[in-house]
Amino acid sequence: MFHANNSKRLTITAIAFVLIIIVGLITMHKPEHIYKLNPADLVESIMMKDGELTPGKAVYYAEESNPDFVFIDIRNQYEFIKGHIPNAINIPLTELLSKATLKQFDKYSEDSVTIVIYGNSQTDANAPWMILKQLAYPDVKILLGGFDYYSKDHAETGDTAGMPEYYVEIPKYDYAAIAAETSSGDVTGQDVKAEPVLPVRKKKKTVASGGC
Amino acid sequence: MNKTYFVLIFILFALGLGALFLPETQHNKERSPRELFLAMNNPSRFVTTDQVAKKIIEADPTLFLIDTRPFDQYESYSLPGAVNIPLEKLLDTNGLIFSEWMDYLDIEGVNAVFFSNSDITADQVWVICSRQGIDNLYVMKGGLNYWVETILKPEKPVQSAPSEDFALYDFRKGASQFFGAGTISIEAEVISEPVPRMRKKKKTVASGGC
Repeated sequence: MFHANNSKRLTITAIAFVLIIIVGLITMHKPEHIYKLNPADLVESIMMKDGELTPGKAVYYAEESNPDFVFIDIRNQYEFIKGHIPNAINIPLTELLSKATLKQFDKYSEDSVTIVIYGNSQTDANAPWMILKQLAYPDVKILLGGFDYYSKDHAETGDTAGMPEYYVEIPKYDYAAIAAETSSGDVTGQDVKAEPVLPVRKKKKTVASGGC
Repeated sequence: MNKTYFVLIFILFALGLGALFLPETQHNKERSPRELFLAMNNPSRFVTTDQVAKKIIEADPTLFLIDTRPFDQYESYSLPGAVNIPLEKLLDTNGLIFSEWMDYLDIEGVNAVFFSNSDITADQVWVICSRQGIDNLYVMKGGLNYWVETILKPEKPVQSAPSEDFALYDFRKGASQFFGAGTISIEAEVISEPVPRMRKKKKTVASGGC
């Protein structure tokens, strides 16, 4: 009698135990977004420069309205209305991680459409681009030079030989030489650290020394 | 022994095994994408070249400069007191920031300012470090190219410009002298050039006397 009772209790405990675990698993906090790319791969991808799109190519893709590319304008809607890349879609920066946006992006990657993201400058789009890359869209591209460069040189943005201006990370100046120049050229006379020169005085000859 | 005991033991054992294979929780300081996104949208993460110049001149102890360019570029010129952490050497094989860098980056009360030739590489380092949960990180807007244009070779404002522009120009001019003289070791020699002494003309022997 006692034995049977005990086993029944045990069964109930076991079931309750399993139930609690199941409930726990179901209600487990699901993060809103998950990183899919680890930082090391991100750095590697940046070093490979495979996520960059030159303005020349952008002009080409945009004008023939290539269906394999979609341009995402992350500026606000007023700037977008004033001017944008043909067929670009405006997704203001604040909307970038919203559900609707990410759903749209998922659809693009399903259809293997390349997302190209741009802002006014490359700097504006850089961090958003990196975030998208780290989420589920490793093939997102960034427009070099941003919209500023695109609109400025729209007519003749050919990818020329030499180093075009939109590769901003290339040193424009010889820093060391300039630093040397500013110090020696401009400064002389004004701010030389040397102490004021005290002329050495000769001892006065005693009055008596020369003479009769 | 009752069978139910075995069932219970089995369940617990299975769960324990399951826990072993749970995905490894990363560095628990890691920011979620949403948090990273919010931090990224905060415009105060960018500092101007003027702010940086002012802090260097004042020898502000909370300022910590980090050059994110490759080593050879760092070697030829960098800002005074800057430490070199190139983007390609930021992470170890596990995708975490090297612990020796962490000693530099994660200091209470110190503001680390990243810079590169422009601000793209610096910003990339910013994003990676921010994702790992480090606070007080900044990016110098425009980078060294803009540093040259504003600090080392400031442009004189037009005559009609507001007086603030002139004040800024004056500051930059002074800063330019400061950095020109301070950053390069050759300059020390220039300063210590032998100072020409003024000599009095020797009196001619004949001068005194009859």
